[in-house]
Amino acid sequence: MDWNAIVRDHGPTVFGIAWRILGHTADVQDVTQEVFMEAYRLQRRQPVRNWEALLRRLAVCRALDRVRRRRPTVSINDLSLRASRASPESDAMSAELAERLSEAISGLPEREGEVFCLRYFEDLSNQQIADALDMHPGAVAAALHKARAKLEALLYPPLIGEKNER
Amino acid sequence: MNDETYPDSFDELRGDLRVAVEYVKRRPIPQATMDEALDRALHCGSPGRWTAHWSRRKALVGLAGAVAACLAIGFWLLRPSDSWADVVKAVGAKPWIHGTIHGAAADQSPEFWISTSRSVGGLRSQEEISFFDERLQIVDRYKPAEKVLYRLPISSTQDLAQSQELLDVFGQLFRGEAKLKTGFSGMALKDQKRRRVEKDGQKWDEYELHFQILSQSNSDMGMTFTVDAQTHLPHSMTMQGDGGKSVEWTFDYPENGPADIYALGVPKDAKLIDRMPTGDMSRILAAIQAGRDRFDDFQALVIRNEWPDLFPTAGKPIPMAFLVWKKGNRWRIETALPPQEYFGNHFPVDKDHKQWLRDLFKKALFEPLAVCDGKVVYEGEMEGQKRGTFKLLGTADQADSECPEVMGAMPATWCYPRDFNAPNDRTEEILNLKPAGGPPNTVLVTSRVVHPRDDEIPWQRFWLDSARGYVVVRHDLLTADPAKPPTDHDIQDLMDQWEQTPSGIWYPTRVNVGSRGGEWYHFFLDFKADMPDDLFKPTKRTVLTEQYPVGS
Repeated sequence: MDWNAIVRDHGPTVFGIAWRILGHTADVQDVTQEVFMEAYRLQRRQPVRNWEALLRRLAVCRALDRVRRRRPTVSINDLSLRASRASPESDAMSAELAERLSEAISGLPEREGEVFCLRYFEDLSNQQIADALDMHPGAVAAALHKARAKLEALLYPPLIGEKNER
Repeated sequence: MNDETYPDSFDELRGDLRVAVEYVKRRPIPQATMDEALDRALHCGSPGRWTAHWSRRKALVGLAGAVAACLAIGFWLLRPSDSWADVVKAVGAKPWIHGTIHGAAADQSPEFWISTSRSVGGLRSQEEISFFDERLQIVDRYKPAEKVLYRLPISSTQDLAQSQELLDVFGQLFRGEAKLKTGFSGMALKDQKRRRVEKDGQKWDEYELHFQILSQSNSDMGMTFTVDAQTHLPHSMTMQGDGGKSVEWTFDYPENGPADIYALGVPKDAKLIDRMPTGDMSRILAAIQAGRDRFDDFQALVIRNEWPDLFPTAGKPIPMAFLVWKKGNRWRIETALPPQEYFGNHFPVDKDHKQWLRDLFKKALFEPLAVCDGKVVYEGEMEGQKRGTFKLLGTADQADSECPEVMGAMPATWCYPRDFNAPNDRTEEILNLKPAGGPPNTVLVTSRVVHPRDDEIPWQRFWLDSARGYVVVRHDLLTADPAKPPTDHDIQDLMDQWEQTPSGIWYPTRVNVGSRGGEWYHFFLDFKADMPDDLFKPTKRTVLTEQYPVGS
């Protein structure tokens, strides 16, 4: 195993995933470190046949874990991206949107959050996501559909009384 | 876009969700931060992060070891030359050899002395001073920064093992043995040239050597010895790495050398910490070593029932199978990822597993993971066009650190671990003969890294079964003081089912990996199997799969 080559080849991907989900340099550095340490520990136990898939998956999982940890309790029903609608083109508003999106993703069921990140942040196809997460491509599509629906629902303020019906 | 036939992911998003994703994706990656993070990640590859043994090994392979190593390599590699006996004769007549470095590392002023007639040697640099006595098997090691002198068993440190190799080589040379039996680990000679040159009116024989660093497939090193053509005394050795940097050692042959470590400049009043094992600890260390060295030859099928770390949310365990052959100090390990239909197909631990294994053998394609011919380890290429070929990985004793993923398929790895802490200058070992909270009939060796790095696991606990001759039955890797509550990062390996080899060596037939409850290694060993020597060569295996006595 050429560890240097593994870090060199896949490190930017790991860092990029963590960066897109977290957006804070200190957290991203920590997650990158966590991912590689965990990967190293895993390969000590078992040969790794697909480093790219393993590291992508670990990066998404650990970055979302980090978001969950820094937001003690995140309920997707309590989140709203609606606040940004006044000026959607502004970077500041987009940044706020992105922040809220991370929180919202971390509030999704784990599998849906992972699938969403790999599809929309990393541009992986359903098949590639299936390979990375050991899922059936059909299950990927279903998880994506659910994740999108839940996140898009946050864009609109709930009607009075609607929240409790969700 | 990774898949050109797949629609742009943006097209699937609407409104603010799309805006947010778009913003996230165009946010520029901070290059400097990434470089720093990846630099740290490179160090995650140090196996030492996960075992103190590997930590120790990496930490101790320092300048002193390199000094001895390079010198020994140079002498060793000279042996095929016709004039080697002359060189031996010339050097052997001298009571001491003294080496001094020049060039790139000269600012550290390292130098060494060695006397084969006394079997002692000393190494001195700004970072460390050491003095070892091969006959007593003791090394004194002083670190100026700590102002502490450690007394350690010579066999417990990797760099001194290298120095011992040096002594072995010199000893054979000084006895006049024209053909050496000892090799030097870590290097492979690729070619060598010899030529006569004349400088400043003096004639010199130059031996230009070119060898490969075994653990780095694309890394070579050149070494040139300059030997006085008249006296046959080596005068200098120049080492040149891939990067073009060179270091030169020069040698002289004084009548006297250091009598002990204090003669090398260690203060007489330096604090001495004696870590020479005594009593029960000494017996335990010897028992672990003996169990590993005397383990009977075997052929084995090893099943790891699942690997949820990789696919924890898949909801279906993926069994992995290994074939292992061990004959003396040679071994071979092959592995197979079973076909998809086996995913979620639990290994039938408590039922008749023979049929399960027979079916697996029919469908799984085993491929070589690693082969050790007794001297070096070859790693099987598992991916791409090189699949089925081998590359040189390192020396046999580097297997644990260079291919740790492979070694879990060897039962001795768990019960007679190489990372069981022999005394060294980085860790403290505490033996508790009546510990609480562990498996029955066990004694406990707790090992603590005295000054752990931030990313180093600082505590290890080895629970050893005294009734089975001190085998490790449980191994804990702890991120915090054992007196404190355990953390999520702690690892516990538990060996809970045992058998004996024909010669009475205990080994586990089941290992619970990582204390997560569901991950197990199952070992099925056959001590009567006929193992042809070709198995231990780096070649593709073409037979035996069908012959393997499944489930025996």
